[in-house]
Amino acid sequence: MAARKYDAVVVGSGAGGANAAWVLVNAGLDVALLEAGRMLNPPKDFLTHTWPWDLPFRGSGPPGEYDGLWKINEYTAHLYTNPRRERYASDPEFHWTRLRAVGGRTNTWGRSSIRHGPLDFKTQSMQGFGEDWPIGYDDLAPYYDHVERLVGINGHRDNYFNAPDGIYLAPLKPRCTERLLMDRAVKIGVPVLLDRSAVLTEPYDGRPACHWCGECGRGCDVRARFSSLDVLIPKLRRKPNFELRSHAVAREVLVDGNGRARGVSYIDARTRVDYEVEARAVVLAASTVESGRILLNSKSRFHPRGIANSSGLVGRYLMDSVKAGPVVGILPELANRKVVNEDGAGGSHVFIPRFNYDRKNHYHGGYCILVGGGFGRGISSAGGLTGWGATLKRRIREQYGATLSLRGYGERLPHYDNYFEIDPDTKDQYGIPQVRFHAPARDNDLKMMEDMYGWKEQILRGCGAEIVPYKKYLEPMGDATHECGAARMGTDPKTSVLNSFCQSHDVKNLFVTDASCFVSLPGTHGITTWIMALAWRAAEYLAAEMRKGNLSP
Amino acid sequence: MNLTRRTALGALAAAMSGATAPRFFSESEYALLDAVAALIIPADERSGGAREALVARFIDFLVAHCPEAIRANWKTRLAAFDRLAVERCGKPFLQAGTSEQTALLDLVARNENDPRTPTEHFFADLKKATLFAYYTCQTGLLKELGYQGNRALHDFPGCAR
Repeated sequence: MAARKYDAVVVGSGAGGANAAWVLVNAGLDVALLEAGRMLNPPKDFLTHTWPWDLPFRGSGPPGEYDGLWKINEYTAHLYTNPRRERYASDPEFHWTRLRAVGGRTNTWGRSSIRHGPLDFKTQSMQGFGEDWPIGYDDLAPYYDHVERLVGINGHRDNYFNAPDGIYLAPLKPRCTERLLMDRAVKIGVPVLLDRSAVLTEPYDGRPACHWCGECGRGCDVRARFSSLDVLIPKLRRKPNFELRSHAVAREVLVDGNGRARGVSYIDARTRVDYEVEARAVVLAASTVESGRILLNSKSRFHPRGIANSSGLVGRYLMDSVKAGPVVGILPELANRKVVNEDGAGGSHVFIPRFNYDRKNHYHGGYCILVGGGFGRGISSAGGLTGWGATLKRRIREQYGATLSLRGYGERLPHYDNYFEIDPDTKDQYGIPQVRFHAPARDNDLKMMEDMYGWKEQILRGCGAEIVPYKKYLEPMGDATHECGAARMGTDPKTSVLNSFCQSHDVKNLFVTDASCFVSLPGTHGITTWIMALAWRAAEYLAAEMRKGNLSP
Repeated sequence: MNLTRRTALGALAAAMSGATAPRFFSESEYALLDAVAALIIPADERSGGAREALVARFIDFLVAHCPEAIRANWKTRLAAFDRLAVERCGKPFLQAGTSEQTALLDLVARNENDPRTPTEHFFADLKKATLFAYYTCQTGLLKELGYQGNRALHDFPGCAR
């Protein structure tokens, strides 16, 4: 087969990859998009409306099957890589949630679409810890605009400190537990904002409005939430200068006689046949760990430690949100109320943004608090109710719809020794060397956790809730599925992997447009539109550089 | 096929009554599970309880798919619970009177948030499994709790209070 040479090959069809491809295609480049997984058919693949009793294990799946990775359950397991069958090593435990399918993890993402503010880009100079990004909020703001117009985000303009307002569709309306929280928390100085999420509150861009069944996390059967599968891929496939190759598992970045990227080698997951795709530029966006793994596995005489890794920092400064366990309260005021349909958009309609800016804290950074409550599909526990019998049954009924749970997602400081590397002992089913993780909780994480629990209790008490007994714990790193930062951007090639346009310092025609480039991870929920804004900016730059001839040898 | 007339008739009777043999527990263990689950979530005028919701059948299915160590724990703890009944009441749990059964359940439920003995673990595990099974079936979720969702709404009105 005569090799066709593309202008760019993009690896990964999730938020970072599909969006980069979209910008490159619109700039007139000839683009091939590689996706390791299969094409999905939303009405068939997303079990949005399946009842628990329609599944053998009522949604929980076979005991222990998913290794504690909470996003994987009986409704979604067929979309994800099974962590028990595709093993990776970690010490201590690391939760690596992998979804190989067209659209990647945007199929089941959390949909929170907050903008990150000026302080989040300048932690060192404005907050005194971590390191500054080489760009600031103003550099990215126009790209947030582009992304928000593409995605369709509900929200309310609150003018809240360091959480810049964006371009929003009609806001969500709070459930009763959330309304009560909004009214009460403000009295103890804790802000509660309406969420900003990628669920359509009105028809948008040819997609229907949400029908309020509350299970977006399983994938939406009608495309009422953003995913690259439903929004970007159909747009891309109408373009003559775009080609999607599914089942294409990237192995490594290929180099030419000068050490420049010349394409990507991949294995077809169905046939196990190896292929090469040649391109003038390579864009990796396979998710932080997968992209880092491809870089580290791309060894040559030019790049003995892996391509783009002259700094030795690929895999280093790995971050994920500091995620603590929940605290649950029972709101006596809401007990025994009439049961109504409170499914709403999946997840909470409100959130508590970082609110510790003005305080003197004994740890660095901050955190947001996510909220749970309403008449859910089942009860997660007996709400701390002890005992048995008729009384237990009655009290569970009374408390149904009266529980409020709070869960903190915090800032993770970049730490050199939080990292992944290639595991010399393990390969995946395609024979590609696997990674292993080293990412323990650090002192700052634990101090922040204590502060989170204190405030969660204080907020619940402020709402008049009875607090259900609980144990404090931090989830393992990776659990928030906000992993990022293992090929960070910077101005100095010795202390960073990429420049401010997500371009490799070492190899000019190699870009990484997923969360790998992150320098910091603030205490916010949701990094997807951040990834997309960065990818948009990087792809625009790539196209301009290619036009100028700056990416050719 | 070498079915005797008796097993063939037995299988036929079971099929007609809708009952199936337990996958993991013995018939007598299953009966004990079913009885205790029915006490944890009893039937009342509003809705059926754990027995009517076939909770024991789900727990049997679930435990059958657990790792070996967890399966073994269920058996030994269940046996310990029945031994406790014999110690306290002089007879197995199923033959004990209502007040004796109540006293036994209260006893093993004492430390349910921090169970220590095999019988306390038995109660804590069975309660957890019973609540999960009950509130994920139609009886528990639709009839008992009256869940109104999983249907399309034109608009989400928010809190109407």
